[in-house]
Amino acid sequence: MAWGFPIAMYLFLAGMGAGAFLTAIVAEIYNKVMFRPLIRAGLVLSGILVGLGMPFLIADLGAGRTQPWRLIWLISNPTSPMTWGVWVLTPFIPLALVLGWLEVDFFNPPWRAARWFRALALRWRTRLLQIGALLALAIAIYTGLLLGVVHGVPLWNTSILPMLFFVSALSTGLAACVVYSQFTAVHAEHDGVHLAKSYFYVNQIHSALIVTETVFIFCWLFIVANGSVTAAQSVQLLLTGEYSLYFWIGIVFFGIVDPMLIYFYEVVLGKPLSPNWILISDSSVILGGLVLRYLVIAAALPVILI
Amino acid sequence: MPKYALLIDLTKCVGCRSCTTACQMQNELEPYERWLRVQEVEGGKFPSVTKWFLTVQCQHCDKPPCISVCPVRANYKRKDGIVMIDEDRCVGCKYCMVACPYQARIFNEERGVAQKCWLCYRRVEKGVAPACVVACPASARYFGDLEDPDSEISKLVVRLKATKLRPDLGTEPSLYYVR
Repeated sequence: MAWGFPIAMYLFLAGMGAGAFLTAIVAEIYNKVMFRPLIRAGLVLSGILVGLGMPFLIADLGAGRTQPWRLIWLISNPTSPMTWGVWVLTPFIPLALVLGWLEVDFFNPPWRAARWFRALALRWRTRLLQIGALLALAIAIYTGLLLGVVHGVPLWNTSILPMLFFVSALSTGLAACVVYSQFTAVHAEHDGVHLAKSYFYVNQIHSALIVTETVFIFCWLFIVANGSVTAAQSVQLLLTGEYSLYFWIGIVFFGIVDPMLIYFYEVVLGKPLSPNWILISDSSVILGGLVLRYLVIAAALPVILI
Repeated sequence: MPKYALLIDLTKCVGCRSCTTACQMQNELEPYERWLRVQEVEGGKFPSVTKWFLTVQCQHCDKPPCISVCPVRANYKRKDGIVMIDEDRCVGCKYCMVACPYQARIFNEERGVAQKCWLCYRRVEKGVAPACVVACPASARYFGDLEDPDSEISKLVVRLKATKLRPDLGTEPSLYYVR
């Protein structure tokens, strides 16, 4: 496989950033007072996370890294999912960074131009959020399409892979928002609603996402395993072979079992858990998302020719 | 317009790797850079097992996945059927290497671009067969024009009932194999 960890890391960061943005959008629509810390987290994080993916992408390039003027051609092939990615990532990163900038107070220089720009961005905030939501949706799906269109790799060439990446992007993005808001707004009162109480609702949505993700992973591996010889070998690499430790510990335990146990315990308890528990469950989700991207790349075997 | 292709008679191939070496000499490749590889394939059932050889290079597909996925359009198909890489345009994203089901591409670390068999187009333009064809001591490789019904390769494709590699993938390769 020509791709390795840098591409997995980039797919993970782009998905998580897009998911964080979509978390902020949903939170803003649902209850912008109660979920204020999550909205802030989502808008601050999304531009940074997707932007952080770019160095990984560029590090993996060849001539495009040493001769960066060639990168202009990246927009030129409408049949390539990678070109679609450039189309959506290029406007998304600055847009998300501006929206994140509106959420923080500390980077606010007293220059007239900065104040004018901030006022302009604030006036257009709703429109920017709408455009950003569409772009984030596109990014979250494109990371799966990029791999899904490859006929030569049976592990990827299935329509459930983009859906799995989409759900995983939402889940890791939500987790990133929760973890970030823990550090920036923990124990803070927001209009009389305690942060932990808002997590109580969030965690129920998050458990639904993880259940969906589990169903997708199961269906994906089951269908692929019943395909060609190469496809079955890829699945075997994951379940019992070279990557089984990563699969069962990284994806199944950290990505699914650990957070689900904590969310389930919270539901059984019937009241919000201590924020430290939520920190554990959601960091665990993020780790699971990274391992999932890495294994999808690592276990990709090419088709047999004869 | 001609449509250049190769026919490889695997029943004649002895697995000597002369084609790989000739290709490396012709295209000034390093020993670890192979535009043409020879795979060993095991067949039959115990106790009557067989081993034979499969030579794989760019299949010069009519519907090449490399061209559709290349984000910078550095891959293109010449009118004579040869699939080419524009090394001045390639950014080295390796998407074509991932997308090629035949794993026919290598990455040139020095130049930071993808490379592969270009059917010795400079020789072909002068009317000389590609290096791998000339070098094969078993005469297992044939080069010619598929558009010309009287060419040797066109006749051999029919007579030897030649097939293509994984036609089910929809790539429509130009290379024919006899096995």
